[in-house]
Amino acid sequence: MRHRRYAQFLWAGRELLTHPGATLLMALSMGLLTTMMATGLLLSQALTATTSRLLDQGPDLVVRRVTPNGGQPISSQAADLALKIPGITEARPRIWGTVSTPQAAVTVVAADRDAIARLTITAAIQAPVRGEAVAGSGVHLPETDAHLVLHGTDTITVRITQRFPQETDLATHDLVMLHPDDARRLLGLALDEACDLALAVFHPDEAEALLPELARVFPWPVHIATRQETRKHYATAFGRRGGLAALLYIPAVIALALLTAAVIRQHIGSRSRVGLLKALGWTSRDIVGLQITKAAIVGLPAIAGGLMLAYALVYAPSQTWAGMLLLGWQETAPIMHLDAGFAAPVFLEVAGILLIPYLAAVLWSSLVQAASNPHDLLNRGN
Amino acid sequence: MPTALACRNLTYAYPNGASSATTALLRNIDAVFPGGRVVLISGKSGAGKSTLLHLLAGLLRPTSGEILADGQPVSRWLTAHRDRWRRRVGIVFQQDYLVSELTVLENVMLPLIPRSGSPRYWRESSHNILARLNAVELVGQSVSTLSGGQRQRVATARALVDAPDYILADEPTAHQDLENAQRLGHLLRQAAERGAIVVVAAHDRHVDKWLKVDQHLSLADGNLEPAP
Repeated sequence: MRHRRYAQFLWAGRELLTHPGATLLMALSMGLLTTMMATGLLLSQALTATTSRLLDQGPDLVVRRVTPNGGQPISSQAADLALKIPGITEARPRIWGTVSTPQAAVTVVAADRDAIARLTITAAIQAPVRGEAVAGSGVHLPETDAHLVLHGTDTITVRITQRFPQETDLATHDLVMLHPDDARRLLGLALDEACDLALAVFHPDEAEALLPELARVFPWPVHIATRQETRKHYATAFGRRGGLAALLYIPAVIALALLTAAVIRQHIGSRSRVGLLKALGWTSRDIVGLQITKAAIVGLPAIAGGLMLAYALVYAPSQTWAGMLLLGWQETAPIMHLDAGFAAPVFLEVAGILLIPYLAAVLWSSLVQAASNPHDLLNRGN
Repeated sequence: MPTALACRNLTYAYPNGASSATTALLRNIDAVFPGGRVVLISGKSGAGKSTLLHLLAGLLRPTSGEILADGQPVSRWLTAHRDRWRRRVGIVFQQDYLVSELTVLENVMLPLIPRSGSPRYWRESSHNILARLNAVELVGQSVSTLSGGQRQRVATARALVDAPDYILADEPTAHQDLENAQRLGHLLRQAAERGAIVVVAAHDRHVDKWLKVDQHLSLADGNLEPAP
């Protein structure tokens, strides 16, 4: 039986080679469609996983001072006010913001011991002195020197003396770490001012219960973001993008269906071919088996290849295509965090979405022809 | 080996244009084709010889009556059962129905593929039958390059490659010279001697030059009668 199946597998391959162009076109179409679908879904999942991982390393609560005109710097003494509330174990004023460089926007952060400990896994990074900076892999410099011009409230030039380690790319990709004095000057902050206040709480799950008391302890209006809120915000944004991307697949799936129908017709051959096979002693089961084998020979490697390409587009270091096409990223994309629990269902989902209708179409058209009267098939031809 | 292939009260009618009326091509035919014998069916073009062979091969269902193979009503069987039975039938069509994308050897292999055997066995069997039909030099060629006679020999080889129990040949020498026709006649006679049922349809009056016939029937006006 195994010998017979092997022989029929070889024959199915031989039959596919009788239409090499159509076979190649079918495989390429399936592979590309798989890549399109899987890339969108994987990117969305990867962003969610990456963001979730980043947020897990971040503060439980973030307090920002707000006015009707927008955000305002927060006083460094605000940390003392926050620590008066039972359950809050740490309050850290943060100096950070987004500024521009001649190449692209970057995030700057003032260096302190805590920040360095959070952003580096190895202890290889030294806190920068005035006029120097540590930069992530996505921060580009002119080829001629190591100086970076930063435009914020003020303009400063710093020399990049270190790069963050590759394994921290998730958090440091477009980050520039400066001496606190340089950061304040760049962001227009006074000596005792910070951008926001990062809080750690004893029971992270109960952080939301502290919000009313926190709002009362400060003498000015504040906006307090919880980790859950932030996570939800990003998940919604990624989900929306994923939904919009899914709409793009509809014409692609219709095109695939049409192509499949055309190619199946060609693969099965004319009706007279099926009639001939039946006349020569092929049973309906033999004919359907041959067509399914041919479809599998084309479809399985195409889908596997498409999934591998999608995987590479999303997770390969420095790969920008997926982000550029789907999210409009202009710069080198950060290294995504691969979560097998997220990626495996995506692979199965995409393989199922494409493979099941494809095989069903092959099965149906094969069955219809194989069940017909051989005399009619032979005489009516195509 | 089969004992007999028979038609019992066999009628076949086809629709007459757009109307609901039908025209009977074969009428109440009763005939027995015994194993080990070569039976010739002759008749004018359009008499229904090809249709009768298609009915005998189970490619077509009769309007009424039945086809019996060793007493079993083949024409009433379910499609799947008939498909399996047809593995014992080798049919040479009036048109050759060769697959243009395949080589000569691959065309001859076609009946063997769903059955047992390795690709090597397929090749050897196909080679062997092509050699016996004086067509071995065509093995690697594309069928689209063949002459009419060559195509017919390849189609005949395809029908005989698996030594079928029932051989139904429709005008198998229409494009053959006498030498090749005699080779084919010899092969058909050998098949009958091993017990196969051989039914040949031809309107050729000189069949006796290449085929030793045991029984000669004539098909005319929908009736199958012993030839005069």
